[in-house]
Amino acid sequence: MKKLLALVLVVGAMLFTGSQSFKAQDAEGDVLVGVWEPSHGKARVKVEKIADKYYGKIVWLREPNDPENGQPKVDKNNPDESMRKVPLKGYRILKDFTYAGKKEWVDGTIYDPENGNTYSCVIKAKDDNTLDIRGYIGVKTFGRTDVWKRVAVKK
Amino acid sequence: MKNTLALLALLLVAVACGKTEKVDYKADEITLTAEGPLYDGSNTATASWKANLSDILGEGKMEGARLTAVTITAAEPADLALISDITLQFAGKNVAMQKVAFLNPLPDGANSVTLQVADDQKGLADFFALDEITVVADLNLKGEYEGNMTLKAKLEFSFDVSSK
Repeated sequence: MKKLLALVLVVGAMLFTGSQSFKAQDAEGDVLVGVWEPSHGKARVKVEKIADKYYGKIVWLREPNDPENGQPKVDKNNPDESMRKVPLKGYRILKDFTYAGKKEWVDGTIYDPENGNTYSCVIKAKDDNTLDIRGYIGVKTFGRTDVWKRVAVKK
Repeated sequence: MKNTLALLALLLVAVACGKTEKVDYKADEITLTAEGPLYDGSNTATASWKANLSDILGEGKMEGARLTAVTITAAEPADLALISDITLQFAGKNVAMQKVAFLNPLPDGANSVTLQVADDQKGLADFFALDEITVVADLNLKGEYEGNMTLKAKLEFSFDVSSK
């Protein structure tokens, strides 16, 4: 009976520790949530969590209107012609990131509206307010890293 | 030449055996909620949705899916006037988010709007293998909005279903 009780206690403790560790992992991953500015400063991207994955959309543009026609910018370089009138404001350029631990988010993609290309992407947090965003095709080695800064800096 | 003929015959047999038919499907109305307060600019409304396909698939297997029509209404009809554009996406576990429809701009004074469906839809059938699909509507608002905004979406699909 004592052995059974001890076993129940041990299993309970393990489950509790496991759930706490998941919660901690969740909180760590949520560091990505917020508004970020790429190094070019032409846009701001809001990252949010939807169904356990992270997505980022453009919420601010330094030049919101297309200089060619004075109208709000749209996704005119999208390879799918039927989607070229989708507005850039609100456009999801970061998609499907999952938190892999050690301040790294993986398995996502980044879209470049300036050329209509989508790249594989990994995100690494240098600290709570700085991200290394690496876009690549095929192999991570052959990519480009940009540094994004949090707009409302966490102290 | 003999090899080519044999391959052709094999292909014909394969096509004859694996019969695929088109099935139209109108989903039950989906309720999307954007949690307020909402601000001028980009906001997000979401819904978790599980399609009930057992009746239309039967013993068959879904080989392909295509969204064919999307109609959006607002729980409070006046709310549509506050929205400048809508982009609709599907998201889910182990499947990449896919943009499926949009409308920019929304017409003035409309009680319901029909979105333009994407020509390029890849792997949509994968979403129907999931326990649930997250439907994401990105809305650009013309102004601020107190409280939650509720939208109703009616989706229509065309499925390729193979019989066993």
